Amino acid sequence: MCNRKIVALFCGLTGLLLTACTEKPQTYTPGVSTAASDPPPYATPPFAGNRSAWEAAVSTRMKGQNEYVRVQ
Amino acid sequence: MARMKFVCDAERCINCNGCVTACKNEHEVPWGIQRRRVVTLNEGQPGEKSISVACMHCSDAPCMAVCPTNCFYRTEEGLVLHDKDKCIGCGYCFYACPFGAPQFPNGASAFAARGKMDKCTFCAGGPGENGSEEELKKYGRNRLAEGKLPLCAEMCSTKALIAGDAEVLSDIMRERVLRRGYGAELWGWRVAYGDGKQAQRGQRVHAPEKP
Repeated sequence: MCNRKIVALFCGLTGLLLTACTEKPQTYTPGVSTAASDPPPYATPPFAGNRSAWEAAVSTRMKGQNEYVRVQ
Repeated sequence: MARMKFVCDAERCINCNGCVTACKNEHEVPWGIQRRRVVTLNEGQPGEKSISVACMHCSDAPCMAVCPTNCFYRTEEGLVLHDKDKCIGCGYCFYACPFGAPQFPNGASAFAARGKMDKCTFCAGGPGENGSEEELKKYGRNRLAEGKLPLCAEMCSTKALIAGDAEVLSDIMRERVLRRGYGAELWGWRVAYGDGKQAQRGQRVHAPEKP
């Protein structure tokens, strides 16, 4: 009986400790800052609201930084 | 595309200061402000290492936490930017930042920079219309809105400094370390780079040469 309590206590404490390993939410929460609104980078020309085109353009440049892929 | 980051590969940085020059020129940063700088560790000794440092666009940014006017904000891409119209130039963010990223202009440039804190924007400008003259004067050029990456990273001749989504950067760094044949034993490897296929296989393309 005593062993069960110890095991339950151990499991509980381990679970509590492991909560520290979780990642803090990094969701965008507009309205907290007093800064003026900043339109997203794809809002204006040359992308004019086309988010997927902007992401594709930036992604191409990001992957182009890997010369192992670029050269071979 | 949620978390834009910079990574500087200390094995590749040659302390050329090309990133610093590119940043100063691109954004017409006035005298007295260094948005980016190169730091050399153990300078003059064999095996010295250099890294290029600017705003790291922290996920839990201390500058945001201490700002009394809450002028900092985080964009959808995870960039930490600030509104110079709300900034009072108190300098708290400078003291809070472990990288010394926010800078306060001094000397003759103080008035030209309007007495506001200045920092790296990841070439994403600031509040206001993208690519406008006003944005250029206050924050510098908005390259991200042009579908480009920060100029410091794109100008880096050895590609020591790379910029972009954290996952893509992790993939690039993982491949570099595996090809070099060393570095995977570093503490935190799995935390930083996960259990990628290459890491699981323990693949080493070029084994280190033994003297």
